[in-house]
Amino acid sequence: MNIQKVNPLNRSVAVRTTVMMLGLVIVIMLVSGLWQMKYTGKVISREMHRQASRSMDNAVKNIDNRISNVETALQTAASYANLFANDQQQSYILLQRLVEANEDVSAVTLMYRANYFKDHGKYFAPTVYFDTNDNKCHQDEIGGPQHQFDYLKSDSNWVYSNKLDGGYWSLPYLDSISTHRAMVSYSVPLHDSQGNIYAVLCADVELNWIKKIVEETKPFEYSEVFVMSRDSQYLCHPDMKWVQSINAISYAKQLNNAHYLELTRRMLKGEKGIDTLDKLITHLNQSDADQKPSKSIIYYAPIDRVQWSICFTIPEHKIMERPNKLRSIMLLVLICVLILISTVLYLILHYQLRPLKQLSLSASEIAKGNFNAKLPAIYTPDEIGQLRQSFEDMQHSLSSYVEELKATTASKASMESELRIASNIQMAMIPKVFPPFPDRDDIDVYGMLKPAKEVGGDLFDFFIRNEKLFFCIGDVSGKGVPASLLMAVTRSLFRNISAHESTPDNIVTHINETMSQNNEAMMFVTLFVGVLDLPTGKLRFCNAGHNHPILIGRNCDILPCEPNIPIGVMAGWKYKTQHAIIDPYTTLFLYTDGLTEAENTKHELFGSQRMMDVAKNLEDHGVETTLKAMYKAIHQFVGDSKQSDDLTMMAIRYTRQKYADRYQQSITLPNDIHTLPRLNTLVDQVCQQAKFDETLTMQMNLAIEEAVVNVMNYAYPQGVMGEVNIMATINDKRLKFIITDSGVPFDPTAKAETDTTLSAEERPIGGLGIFLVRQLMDSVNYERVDEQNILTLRKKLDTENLTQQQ
Amino acid sequence: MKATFKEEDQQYVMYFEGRLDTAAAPQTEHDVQPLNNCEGHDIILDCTNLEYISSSGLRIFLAILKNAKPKGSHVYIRGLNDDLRQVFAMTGFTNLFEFK
Repeated sequence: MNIQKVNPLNRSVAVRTTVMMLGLVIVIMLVSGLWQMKYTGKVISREMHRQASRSMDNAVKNIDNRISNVETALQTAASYANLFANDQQQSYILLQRLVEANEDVSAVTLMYRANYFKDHGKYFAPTVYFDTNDNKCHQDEIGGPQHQFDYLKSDSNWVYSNKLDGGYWSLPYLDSISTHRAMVSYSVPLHDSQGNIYAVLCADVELNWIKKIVEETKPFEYSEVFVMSRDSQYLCHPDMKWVQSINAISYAKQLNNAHYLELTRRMLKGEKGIDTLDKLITHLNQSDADQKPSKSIIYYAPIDRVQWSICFTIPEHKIMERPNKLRSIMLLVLICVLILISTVLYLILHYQLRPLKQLSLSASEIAKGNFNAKLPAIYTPDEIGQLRQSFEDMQHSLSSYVEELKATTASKASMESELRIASNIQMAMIPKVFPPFPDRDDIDVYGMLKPAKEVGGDLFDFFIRNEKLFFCIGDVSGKGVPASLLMAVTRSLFRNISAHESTPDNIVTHINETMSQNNEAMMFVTLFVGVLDLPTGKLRFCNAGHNHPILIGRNCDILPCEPNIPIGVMAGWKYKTQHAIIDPYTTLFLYTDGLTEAENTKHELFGSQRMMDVAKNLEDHGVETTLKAMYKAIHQFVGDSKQSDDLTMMAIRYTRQKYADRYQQSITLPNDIHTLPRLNTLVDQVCQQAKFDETLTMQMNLAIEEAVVNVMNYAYPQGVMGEVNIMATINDKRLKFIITDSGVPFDPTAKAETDTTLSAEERPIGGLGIFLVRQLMDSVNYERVDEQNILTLRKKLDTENLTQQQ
Repeated sequence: MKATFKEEDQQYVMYFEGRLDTAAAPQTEHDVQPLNNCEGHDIILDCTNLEYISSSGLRIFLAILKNAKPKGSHVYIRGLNDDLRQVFAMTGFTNLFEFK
């Protein structure tokens, strides 16, 4: 199991499904809730409007009724007032009746015009009032001689009516400052028979009931009610202190609230309507901060009879208060239900999916390699049951598959082991001991082969025969086992053929002939074969389509090669030998395309330019250093990239020193064995110069005689006359005989070795001569140059050699 | 070069003197012909005075041996000096001949 942060939702199907269901239900409920809210809001506001309108109508009607009652009573009284008005006592009775009959009327006054009664002074105004303290009516006279007040002429509020013909409702006023009881007066003028006003009947109406009526009729508990008279004073206000003390217009101006002012004006004009106010100012000294920023809906309507305006407020937040409360309860219930549903759903899912969990445990058991793990018993035909069936099938196929895999792996392991052995065998074919010629001072060779796979198709080989270094480097097309087989064949052919062939073109041609036959796989080999004549530094080579080697000496040059085709491509192809002189202290560097085509991670090739650049700095280095430097350069270039092709390199360093000749003598003999005593004389003289002892001299005689006799017998066919030249040279190191003739090409060194272990019966009579030459001389070297056979025999001069021979 | 045949105590003895080189080989081949009929006689090749032998000489020696062996005759070499013995050793002839 990965110990990662896993989204908890993804851990369990039950949890995820539950959460998804929950989410879906919540979304649906939210949407329906929002719709319901909107719808309910509409219904409620419509209902509220209806309620408010009805309340308003009721309030207006009730107030108007009460007012109208007073008005009717007074008008009626006025119509028969002249029956009482002439007598003081009678007028009191009238007034008292009026007060008693109307509970709203708290006092009635009859104000006579000046000097109406002669005995009552100028003004007379009998009044009857109802004292709430004792619930009795009391009589009084307010215009009497002691008052001297002309009501009718004074410019007072209620007396204004005497100028009118009908009844008149005064502006409201306070009964007294202390009680704050609002009052209003209704006055009716009394006319005499001539139609002149002789008195005014005036009723004081207490307005406490207004408050009561509006409180009863207001649409909602939380509504507030205002009643304003036409002089923009309040008749009724939630705060009683405002009554008859605050002028609404002035107050609105003071607030600098245009909307409020406009509303007030419309109310004063007696209009009916609905409006909305951002704030409701109901209390004096109420700071703005205390105001709830709640909108209120205002309903207002006039009471035309008295030119009052009545107004209800409905705070918006109050409208939805109850539905909201209901909704909160609903929501709480809903949440509980959801929790219950989720829990139940989770438990059901959990229970239903439990077999899956068991199946998963079994699966991980199987994954650990226990293919016989028991699967949980699920026999329901549903999806889980099917899954279990599939699992069982998978378990069976897995175990059989693993069995197969085991067998395959085992065979692969054996194949790998065989491949490893093959690799070892192949590597054994490649020279491994370096330096290969520790006792030679004229040549050193170093080589390395790095196959890209276990076995490769590259090869290199070298050996010295008759003072000649035979070497080859090659690259078989392809890689791996097929290439390695062909490589082994090529290497064996090279060894076999060059054991008796000395010229590279012959070697290559022979190899080609053999390889071209039955080459059904159409594989080919690029091969460079060289034969370096160690005494002279003369290199003969044949390049069958291989990379051109480079010469690292004073200069760094490519060895120019003729374009021959690779080996195995075409039978009968004539390969040509090329010549070159290798100067002492020059390294011949050979390689396969694994070097130039070494690829780095950017897919760039090492290339011959880089190779030349490296080679330029290796002029004075030994072969091992040269190769290792080159390998290091390739390794650095390639970096972490995988080796793509076999890589093979071989360096041959030629280090022969030239010694000055200090003695030379030559003789030319006809091809007649009877002239041999002259040869003996020459050899004796030369050996004397070389300070050879008798034994060595005898051996030299034997060797030279055998060599010359060989030439006389084989280079010239019987009966053909010819000459043999023998030149002897001595330098500080060795004694050298060069035997030259112009006969047919004859290479005595190409003859097979004589087997000296055979019995007398088995031994052939011939073949002893060249065998003796090889035994007696340090080196025997044949070359065919300019139609001449040149056989060079060498013998070292050092004293060590002398003592050894003795 | 001189090759002299003598019969001593039922044994055929061939005395070689001087240099048995290629030039002398044809004559010597002729001189050793008496050894061809050696039935019942062992052969001794006396090399006490032999100074030199080339491969042609060795071939003559081998021819004598090849002729004598089927006839049941032993071929002995007598008095070979060290230098020549080296040559015999080189060519493996020391394994073929018996030395006295």
